[in-house]
Amino acid sequence: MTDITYISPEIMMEGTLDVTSAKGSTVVLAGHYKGEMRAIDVRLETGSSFTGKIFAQSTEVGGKVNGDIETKSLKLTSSARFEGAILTDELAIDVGAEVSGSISKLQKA
Amino acid sequence: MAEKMTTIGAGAHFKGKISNASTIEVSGVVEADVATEKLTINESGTFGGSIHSKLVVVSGSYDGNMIADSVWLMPSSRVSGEIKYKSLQLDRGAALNCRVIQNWDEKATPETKTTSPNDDETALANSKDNSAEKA
Repeated sequence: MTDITYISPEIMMEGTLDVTSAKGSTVVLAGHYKGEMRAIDVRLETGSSFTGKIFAQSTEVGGKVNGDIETKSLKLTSSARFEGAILTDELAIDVGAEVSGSISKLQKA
Repeated sequence: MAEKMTTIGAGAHFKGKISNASTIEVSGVVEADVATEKLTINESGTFGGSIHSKLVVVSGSYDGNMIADSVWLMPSSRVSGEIKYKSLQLDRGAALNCRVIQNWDEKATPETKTTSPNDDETALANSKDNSAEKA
């Protein structure tokens, strides 16, 4: 449980968060975040808001996002409000999600 | 998981600002200025930056300016910087290399120098502050 980074609903965080050093690390955002986030798994919960850039292996979005997501697999749930650029190999969008911006495949490094 | 508790997991590194928080638990590395109700720095946790909190519990490393009502320094804690506190518990084994100031009073700080001469407590605190500056 100490491996999970959880940002609670009332909180406002601004800056850079890097959890790629520990394998299998998860970030769950229920609050508000502005800046850059690097992790293995990122989950943006319903009611959360994110502005900035996300780099992850798998990402699930249920909140409001303004910015770019670069991830191997991405799921936008029905409560997602996304605006920005998506770079992903696997994409799932639930009915009800609002998406505007660009979607493209990850560049093979 | 407690709804209002924010955790910075082991292996996580955050740099920036945290505001409007109620409870924060740090197991990773945080370089930030934080205003919160309760802050815990776990044994694996490292925190650098200013803290404004009601309660601070340190088991890991801390470096910065801390302003807190209650401070609890556990045996494994390593602290440097400055602590302004109202009550402090220091466990045997805690490594404390910092300036500690007890009973800091917000009314006595230079930013809000609206002291009335009748306020003995404030006047006393101010005179203490002045003598500390001269020394």
